[in-house]
Amino acid sequence: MTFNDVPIRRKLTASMLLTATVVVVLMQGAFFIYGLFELQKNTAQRLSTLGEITATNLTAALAFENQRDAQEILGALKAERHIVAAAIYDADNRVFVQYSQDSLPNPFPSAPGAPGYRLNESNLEGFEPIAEHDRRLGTLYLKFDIGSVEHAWLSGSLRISLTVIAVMLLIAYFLSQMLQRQISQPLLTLAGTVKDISAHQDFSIRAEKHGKDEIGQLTDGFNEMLAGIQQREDALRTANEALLAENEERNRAQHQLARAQKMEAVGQLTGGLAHDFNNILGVIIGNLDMVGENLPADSLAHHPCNEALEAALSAAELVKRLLAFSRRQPLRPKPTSLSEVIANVQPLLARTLGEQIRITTASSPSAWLAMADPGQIESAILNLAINARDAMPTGGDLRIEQRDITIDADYALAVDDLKLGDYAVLTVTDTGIGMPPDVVARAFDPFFTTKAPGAGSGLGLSMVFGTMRQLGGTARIYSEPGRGTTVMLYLPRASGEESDAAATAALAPIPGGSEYVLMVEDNAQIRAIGAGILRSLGYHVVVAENADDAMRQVEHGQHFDVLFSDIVMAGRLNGIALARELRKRKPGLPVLLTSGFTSPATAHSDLTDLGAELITKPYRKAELAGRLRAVLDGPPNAVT
Amino acid sequence: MCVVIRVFAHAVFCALLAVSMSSATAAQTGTAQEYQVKAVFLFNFTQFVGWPPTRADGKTPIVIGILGDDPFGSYLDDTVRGEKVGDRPLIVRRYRRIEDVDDCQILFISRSEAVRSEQIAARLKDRSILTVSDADPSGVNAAIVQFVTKNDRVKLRIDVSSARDAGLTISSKLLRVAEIVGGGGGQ
Repeated sequence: MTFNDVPIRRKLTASMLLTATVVVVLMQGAFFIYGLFELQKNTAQRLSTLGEITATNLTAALAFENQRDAQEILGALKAERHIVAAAIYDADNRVFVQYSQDSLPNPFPSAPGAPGYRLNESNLEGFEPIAEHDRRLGTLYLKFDIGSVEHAWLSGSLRISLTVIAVMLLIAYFLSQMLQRQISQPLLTLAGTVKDISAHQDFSIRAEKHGKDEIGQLTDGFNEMLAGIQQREDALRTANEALLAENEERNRAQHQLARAQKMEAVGQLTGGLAHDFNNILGVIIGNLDMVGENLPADSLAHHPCNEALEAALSAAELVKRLLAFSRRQPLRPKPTSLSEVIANVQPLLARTLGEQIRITTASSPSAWLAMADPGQIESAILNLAINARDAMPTGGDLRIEQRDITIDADYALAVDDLKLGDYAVLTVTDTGIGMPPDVVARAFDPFFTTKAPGAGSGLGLSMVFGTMRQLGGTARIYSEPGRGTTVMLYLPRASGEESDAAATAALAPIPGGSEYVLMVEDNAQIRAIGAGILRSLGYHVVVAENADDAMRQVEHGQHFDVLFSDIVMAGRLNGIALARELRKRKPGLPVLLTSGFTSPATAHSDLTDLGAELITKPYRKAELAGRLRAVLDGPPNAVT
Repeated sequence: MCVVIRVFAHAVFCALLAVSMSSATAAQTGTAQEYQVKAVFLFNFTQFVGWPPTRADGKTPIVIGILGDDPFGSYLDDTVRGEKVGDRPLIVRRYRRIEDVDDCQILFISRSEAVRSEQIAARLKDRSILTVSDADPSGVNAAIVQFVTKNDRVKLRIDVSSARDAGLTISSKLLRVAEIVGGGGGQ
């Protein structure tokens, strides 16, 4: 362990103690040297004084040669035990009286020397003249053992000195303990804070500042660094959260896209299939109609013919459902009162569901009108009711409600496939077994069913969903296993008034005409059926197998009064494009279009633009006659 | 230069004196060596005795007188020659009779005058003279300082009350080395 590894408190204490020790020892050393010097000076002074006094007292003894007295005076010096030898010389420099301790071998010189005191080895010795009234009577010799005095002084002083050093070091230690805290405490606090931060990874901790000194500056800098780190960490966390949210969003979007693509693919498939079926059914229905008309009134063939026609019409209905799911069903949405639809469908429901299920409805005639096809809504309600019945084998409650909901910015988050706006919402709630979330997630998938094989087509809910989407709304399912299920049908609010024009037309007699009809149809059988129906109604029929054929005949001067065309055809132009082309030559030309399905791109908007009417395949004679007459007799169409 | 030679001579003399003293041969009294010592002592008294101040002090000489027969020969003259106490020179005067004694500070009364001690005492009454004698001490008329020779050593005996009566101040250092008599001094 080097000095650098020693804790800072001990370093500070050690430095202070070392400094104090050096200072105290040096001071004591100086004191010793000075003291020794002073001791010598004082001793010499004292000896000189003693010598002077003794010499003065000795004058009479010398003058009157009184050795006894001189001896006595000299003996008084014994009181000063450090005077190891003394002698008195008379005026003739002969020893008069002497005195010595411990019988020294050479206690005093045989003759006096010059006056004054000098250091000789460990002794201070000197001569003092004895004189009375300036008359020299003799000399006093004194020998002082200064060595033992110094020794005594040194040992005494050393004891004191060591005590002083010990006490001072003790004081210095306590002072340093107090003072070093002033310096080390902020550092230790800072170090503790650093340890805390690294232990908890908590960058919101701040070091406590003790002053404005360098440690204070260090603390400030450290806190600024912490603030920077914390800011960056916060930014990092925010970015990370945003990234996670984005990721989740993307996953959801991908999931939705995959689902939509799947639905689209299935839709394409069913759509294409349904189109072909429609053409075939068209031929069957057309031919059966013609057969039925041409049979004698009493023919036995009427019954089987009608049965075949009914079956064909049922098939057509099934195809319509497929188209509804694939959203290629031609729809004629109009302002519809949902309360009216509910009222219409209720008796049918009661019959269908049986007595075990109690039906309650809540609707108000003053509620918003929905932009919808009433027949489709009825069939959707029927579909949902049948599902509810199946979910309540032992009976329960079925509640049908109508509500007005405005989807604003907040609401749209929950129903993310809806545009903002007003919706007339129909809810169908049962108290059945409910569905777990994974079933709810797949409930709208076509051909997905939880029913036993043969019990359900798996198309019911998917058809409902397709219809709602095609109408610009959506369907939602909320379900809790054991509690029940709610299906909500969102339908866009209608701006206009309810119209009931079409409802009355069916009862009128089949109208005919003698106008020239340009009929364009790429399916030869349907072309033949259609042309036959039209001719039977009295019309002159010009047939074309596609748009180019039709254009060619028109350019050769073929007369025609009305265009009756299929929409989807092989060739350069489809029915809509053909209608536009012909309108350029013949403004105000009446147009009736027909289709097994309409692709989303050519849905309502194009028809509205053209002011054209649409008849859905497969069509029947009465229907075609009525629609064609309506087109011919309708107000002149807008010139485009 | 002259003084140095004198001091030297004096020192040599003293040395000789000391040698003669330390030799325990001299048994008889009144020897020449004895009077040499006494001569020095007489001189030394000037150092330890104070006289009352007179009108004509300053440089008036201090007189050492000898009353009666002179036992010192030339010793006293030799001792005193050239010496001074302060600025006052020392001179030796010899008196045959007490009536002759004039202005004198120390008076040695020779043994020849011992018989007339009463008369002398009366004569010197009220005079500030330090009387010294080596005659046998006797009675109230004895000299203030008596030389007493014992074991070949000359000792001093001082009558402090007589000294006080005479108005003399005797240094305590001198008293220290002397035998004190007449000490009714506690007055």
